[in-house]
Amino acid sequence: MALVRVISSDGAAFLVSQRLAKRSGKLKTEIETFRKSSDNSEAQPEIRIVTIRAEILRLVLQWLQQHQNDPVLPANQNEQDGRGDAEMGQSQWDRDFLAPMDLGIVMELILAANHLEVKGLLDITCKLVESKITGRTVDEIRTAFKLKSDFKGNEEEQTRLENRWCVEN
Amino acid sequence: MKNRKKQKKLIKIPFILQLPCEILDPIINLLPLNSALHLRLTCHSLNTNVETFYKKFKMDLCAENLSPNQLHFISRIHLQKITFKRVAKPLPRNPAPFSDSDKRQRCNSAGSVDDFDEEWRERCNLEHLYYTGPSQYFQVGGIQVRSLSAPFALATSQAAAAGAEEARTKSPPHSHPNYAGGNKNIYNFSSLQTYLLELGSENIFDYVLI
Repeated sequence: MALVRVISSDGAAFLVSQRLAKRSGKLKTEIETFRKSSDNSEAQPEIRIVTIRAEILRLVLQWLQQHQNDPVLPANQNEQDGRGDAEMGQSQWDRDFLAPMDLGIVMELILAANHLEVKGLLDITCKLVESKITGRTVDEIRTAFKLKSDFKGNEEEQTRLENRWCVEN
Repeated sequence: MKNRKKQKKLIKIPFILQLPCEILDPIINLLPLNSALHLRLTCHSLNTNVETFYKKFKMDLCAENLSPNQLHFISRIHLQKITFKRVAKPLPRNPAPFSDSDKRQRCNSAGSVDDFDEEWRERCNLEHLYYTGPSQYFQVGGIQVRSLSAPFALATSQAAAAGAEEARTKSPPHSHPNYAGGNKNIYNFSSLQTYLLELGSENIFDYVLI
């Protein structure tokens, strides 16, 4: 089985099958580039991901492993009608996978999924963030995402007035 | 050393504010209108992001040759978001859409026209602050949107904005300067789609919004 070494920003190495790695658009491109530039067809590619730390990379690979038999979605799938995988339903495994994560990890996972071009993972993590916003008040959203109001002058009041007709209902 | 400082500074920024637009936009897109507005109110940066999202979306809409799928999408989701500032008014708790035919029917059934007009005006003022003249209401994603009469719809966006302002000051029905009678009957998604399709591209908002 052909393998690829994927190295995180903090130096942890993960040995994964190329078949699995190729489910990430970014890793697929890197492997193909390596193949083209390498004289030795048996050489093992080594890919350094400088923006993703080990804990997050491990989660991405774990998700890929679980979904290795799913069809690969193109990056622009469902863009036209605005529906991604997220709206089409998540598996119980996905829900269990995301459940123990705090929002900080989820956000890092989103960035990683985006960087590595793993659309399915990006969809479910975005959906999770959406669920943390929907139905919450402004203060609750601020608390959940550790946000501080930084409006100047009467900006906030003005926005509130603009929204009033909708919020009242 | 410099990198470490930069990293420390980044850690202090809430993660949601570190998300690039290409990630934040799909998240905003998934939100119902009220939640998007709540997000807008959390901090200045997200306010800007939500606004930008709508602006970008509006630009997308102005592309020519919208496909029927796109039109369906607009009528299903985005129209309600885009229209919120100008025309759309959320349904009252007990939705009671009314139209000119309601008025005629009630006038025919009982009571004097004067009594009815008084009640009518009150109802317009209470429930439909943006009401400026005979028109019909239809529902797009839980929000009432008014269909406009053709001459009214041809008004420039400036005049339309002035109309909305006037309506906000509770002017009586029929007083709008651009009102010239007539109605375009839009009563469901499919007629809305046909209507938008006929209009073409960039005038969509001027027609549907005030």
